[in-house]
Parts: sequence; structure tokens; C-alpha cells
Amino acid sequence: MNASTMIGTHVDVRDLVVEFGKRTALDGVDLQLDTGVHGLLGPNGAGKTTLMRVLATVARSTSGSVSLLDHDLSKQRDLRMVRRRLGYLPQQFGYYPRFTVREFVEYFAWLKEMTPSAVPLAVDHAIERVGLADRADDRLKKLSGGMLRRAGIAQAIVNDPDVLLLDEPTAGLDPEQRVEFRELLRTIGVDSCVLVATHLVEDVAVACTHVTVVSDGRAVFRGTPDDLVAAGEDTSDGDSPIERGYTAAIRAARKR
Amino acid sequence: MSRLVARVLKMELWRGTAPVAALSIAVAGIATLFNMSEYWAGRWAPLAENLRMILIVLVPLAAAAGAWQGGRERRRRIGELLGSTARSPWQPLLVSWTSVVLGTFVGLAVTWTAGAALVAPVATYEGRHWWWSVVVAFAGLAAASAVGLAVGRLIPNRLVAPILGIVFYVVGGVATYQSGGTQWLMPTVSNSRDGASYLEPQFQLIQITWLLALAAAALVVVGARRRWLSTVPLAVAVVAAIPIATGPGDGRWQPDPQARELVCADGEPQVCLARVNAFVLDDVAPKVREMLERWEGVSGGFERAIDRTSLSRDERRRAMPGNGPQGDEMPDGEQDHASVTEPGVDLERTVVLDLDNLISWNATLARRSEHGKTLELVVAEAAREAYGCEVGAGVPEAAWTAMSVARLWAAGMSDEQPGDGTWVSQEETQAFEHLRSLPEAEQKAWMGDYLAAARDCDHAALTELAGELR
Repeated sequence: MNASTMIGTHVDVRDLVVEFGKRTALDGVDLQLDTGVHGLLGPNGAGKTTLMRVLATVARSTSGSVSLLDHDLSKQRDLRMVRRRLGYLPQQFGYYPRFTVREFVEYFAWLKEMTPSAVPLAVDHAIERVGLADRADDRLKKLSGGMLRRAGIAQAIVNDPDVLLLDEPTAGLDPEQRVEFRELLRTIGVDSCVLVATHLVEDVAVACTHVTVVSDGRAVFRGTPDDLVAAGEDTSDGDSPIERGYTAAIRAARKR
Repeated sequence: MSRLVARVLKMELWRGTAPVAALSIAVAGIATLFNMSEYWAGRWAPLAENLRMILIVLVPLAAAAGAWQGGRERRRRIGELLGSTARSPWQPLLVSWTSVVLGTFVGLAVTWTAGAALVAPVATYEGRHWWWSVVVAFAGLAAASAVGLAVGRLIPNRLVAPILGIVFYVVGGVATYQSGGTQWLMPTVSNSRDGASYLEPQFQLIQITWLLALAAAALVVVGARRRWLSTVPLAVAVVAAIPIATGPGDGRWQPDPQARELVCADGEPQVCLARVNAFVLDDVAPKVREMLERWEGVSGGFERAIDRTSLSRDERRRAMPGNGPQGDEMPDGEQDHASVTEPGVDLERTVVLDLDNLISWNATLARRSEHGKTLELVVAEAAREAYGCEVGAGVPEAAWTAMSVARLWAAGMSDEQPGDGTWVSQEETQAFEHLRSLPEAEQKAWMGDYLAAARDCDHAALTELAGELR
């Protein structure tokens, strides 16, 4: 746990609206998240990535309020404080192919304004946690898709973030890596607020303590994975209980 | 700088555009610099001047390297990830630019060092203020890479780097054709001054200020959240640019009397070179003396030889055929300098040595320049330069024949063409053969008569002399 770890509401989103021209990507989203692993589910175009980008401070809201770690994101001077305590893996993970894994993670440790003396150990620790210790000195261009994703996660967690935002983090990971990754999420979620946007409902069922379903720019379900399973008890569409719950939540929202 | 920043810079240096920039600039720099080594070998100031000249190639490379580095975030689609981090954008931008600049600096330093290795062992004059020219060259690369970085950031296209390189090449080329002060806005210089002139350090400081302020403005535009801050370095750049652009063009060059000071070889007849060229004196003196001996017994013949670099503008003019204007050899506005020849010395009987192109890459006297010039032909040129009339359409054919024959005689030519681009007609060759067939005393008498007629611009006498050789 780093010195800035906080207790309480990590993410507080109220009536969030994001519009891109005439298109409304998020339409009055409310979300409060504390420590733990939170799943963010929803179909393509539902607004998951837009919500993640707003929380990652790279997209602006049209209206509503967004607060991270008790800092209002609309205030420029608060952004720097938030970003120091933020970890983010975007859906489209860009990287410098000539950098080694270690260099890339260290570069982001510098960008996150970590204490210089803490960086070498933190870099090694982050690389080890994603299982890339034996490839730490390989250039990123030599890594497979799954390894690249893990390198992306390493840069996201190098600063022991209080808020960790992972957009489709398991894309490209093989089943064994996904199991290890879920374990990693559970470990991080003990002290931090982890928000995982994914299509893979099984990941949410196993790794998350809470789940939010978004559809058409609105949060249509909030609860635990068990609550989501319960929501699908009356339907047979889906291969697993949580898939049935997810489908039921989406369909119920569309009927409103 | 903290150790972490140093490590990040090291990453950028090895993983960014810097190695390619360093390599391309070193290769292009050495290739272009050594392609014209005869203009600087053995001389510090000409080395610096030629370093500035080859910037016409190196500045575009630096700009392209900057643009490629500047477009990296977009090409790698990493902008969003970078945008979520705490550090102000100008800091990674500065590190990124610094890495490119260091790469270009390494390339230029390697180029200069390769040249310096040929100069240091033999140079006979330490030069004046030339290192300021080198500093301007480095500042030029820094500015070009900064502008390139900014353009690469602002224009989302992979072709922006090569296109920007071409644009810089064209702009640099156009600048070299400017005669006014605007030429100095580019770090490139249009031609070398043979180390006989220098640029004032104060002026070069203004150039450095202009270039670095321009670099700062470009970086602030793309790196700062408050872009209006770029008006501060921009204002500095404009303030520095005004005296540069409105000032003189070639008039910025100041004569360097020490560089032009004559250094004479021991013994007689007197053979002297400018101090800046004195490193080839031991090569030049014996050969020139051998050729001066040819003139013994010739009435009005040449008695000494001095370096053209040492002459004042007036002296150079008097040394030319017809005492004509020097044209591009003495650009308008260049400051003249006082005569370094001793008072009372008869320039008329002095061979003016123009060693241009005659110094080889290893700072020795070349047997023949790439244009076919030899020391013998340079010395023999004095016979033609003795002609005191205005050169033009009014010169009778017979006078040309006489001049050509005198030059061939002075060069000790056999019947082949000189090989320096000048063409000897069949009639001139026959006349020269006729002269050579005469007893030596008669040859020298003819040459004495020729010199007298040529110096007096006596066309009738020249025609008669040519007629004697038919």
C-alpha cells in the first residue's frame, strides 16, 4: 500500500453526460466505487470506453460531476494529483516497440511522477506481478499480443495506483494467464479501486466484487455478481448463470 | 538532472530517432565535407566555414529527424496513455527533443572531429573566432530539430518528415542565393572565405539567440498547456532577427589581417604565402622558385610570388587581366583590408598565387586539382594577367594568341593542352612551337617584349609579336 492510499469513495460520478457532436455517449451516469474489483459490462457502443476515458482524465464530460479520490476532475490543478494515483490501460494500448519492457514501465513511472528512489524496485515488482520478469529486457516489438497486454498492465500498476482503470485487459491472454490475471486483480483490489471494462462476463463473475452494466450510455444495473446472476433466473438466454443475468439486465433496460 | 531523468533520456537516446539522426548526419556530413576538402584542409577557419556550408544538407536531416520523433506518439497511438499521466507534457517533449538534438550533435561533432584530425597536425594559423561559427552550426541543428518536432506533432501525416526535409533544403538553398542580411537567418553560409575573413562574435551571438529562441518558440507551441507563452521566445526571436535581416549580407565578413599576413620561405627568390596557407609553403616554394628561374633574363620578368589570399581588394584587382572587377570573387559589401605587401614592392613583377583547389585532402599540395589546375599553370597565369587592357570583345585575336603563347611558355608546357579547361587553338600551338624552336635568349627577348606590350596595352605591338611567330 502506498502512502497516498485512501479509505472511502474512490470514484464518484454523478449525472455524467458526454456528447460527441450530436451523439450522446453517456447519458446521466451515476457511479460510486470504493476499494475492490468492479466489473463494467455492456455491449459494443454502450459507453464503457467513454466512461473509462473520462475517469482516466483523457476525455471531458459535457455535464455532471466526476470526482476521483476526492478531487474534482473539472479543476485543472486537481488533475495532476489524481493522475499520480491513477493507473490506466486503454483499450487500444499504444507502445514504443523499441523500448524494452523494463524501459517502458520505468518511463511511465517517471511520467507518473513517482519518487525516483522508489522507481527501480517498483518497476521490477510490477513486471514480476504480470509474469514478465524473464522477458523484462526484451524489446516490446518481440512480445506476443498477450505479453504486450501484460506489459501494459505493468505500466498501469507500477505506481501502486489507488484507482486502476483497465479497458479490456484480458484481450489476448490465454486461459492460464487470465486465471493469473484475475488473482492479480483480487490482490490489487484489496487496497485499491479497480474498474475493469470487459466483454467477458466470466471474468467479472470470478474476479469482481461488484458489477455495473451500461447500455445506451446509461448504467442499467449495479450490484454484486450474485445479484446479476439472480437477475437472470427467469431467462434461458445464455450459457452460464451470469450470462443470463447480463442478458436479462440489457433487455430489461431496452424495454424501459 | 536526477538519475531517473538521465535514465529516461538514455532510453530516448537509444530507442528514439537519435541514433538514426546521428548516423545519417555523420555519414552525410563526412561525405559532403570531405568532398570539398581542398577548401579547408589544414585550416581551422575554412573548416568551420565549410561545416556551415554543408548545413544545407544537415539541417534538413535534423528537421526530418525532429518531425519523425514528433509524430511518434500519434504513430504509436500512445497519446491517450500519455495524457493520463501526471507529468506536464513539456517535460517528456523536452526529453524527446533533447535526445534528437544530442543525436544530431553527435553526428555533427563526428563530422567536425574528422575534419579537425586533418587540420590539427598541420595548421599554421589558429584562426580567429571560427569556433563561434561551429557553435552557430550546432544551434542551427537544434533549431531545425525543434521546428521539425513541432511540425511533426501538429501535422498528422507520416510523410511530414521527408516533406519537411525537402522544404528545409529548398529554403536553405534559396537563402544561399540571398545577397542581403536575410541569408543569415539560416545557419548555412553560401561560400567559404578561405579563412581570410571572419564573422564578429557579437553577430554570431545574435544568430545563436535567433536560432535558440526559434527552437524555444516551436517547443512551447506544442509542449505547453498555455500556448500563448510561446509569444515570449517568439518575441526574442523577432528582436534578434531584425538586426540580422536588415543588416549587411557579405559585409558581415571582416578581414583577418593575421590570417593574411605573409609568411615567406627562406632564401631567394621570395615566395610567400598567407599565414593561413603557410602549411603548404614547403611544398610550394621549391616548385615556384624553379618556375621563377624561367623568368631570369626576361626584361620585366617576375621576381617573386605571393599568395592571392594576402592581397587587398585593390591589389587583387590590379593583379587581374585588364585590372577588371573581381565579380563574385570579392562579393559586394565584403570589408576590404589594408595591404600586407611591403611598401614599394612592385606588384607588377609579382606572381599572384591562387591556391584554390590546389590543396589536397591531406593538407599537401595537390599535383592537379579536380578541375585540372596545376601549380605550374597557376604560376604561369601571371603572364596572362600582365595584360593591362579591359578584357572583352575589343581585344584583337593576335593579342589573345600572344597571351596564350606567353602562358604556355611560362608554364613550361610541351605541345599538349593545359588540361585545366582552357583551350589552346591550333594557331596558338603552332605559335608556341615556333617560340620554343628559337634560341633561349630570343625566347626570353620575345617574352620581355610581350610583357612590356601587355602591360602597356599596346595592341599593335602584341599583334606584331604574334605575327613574328607565324
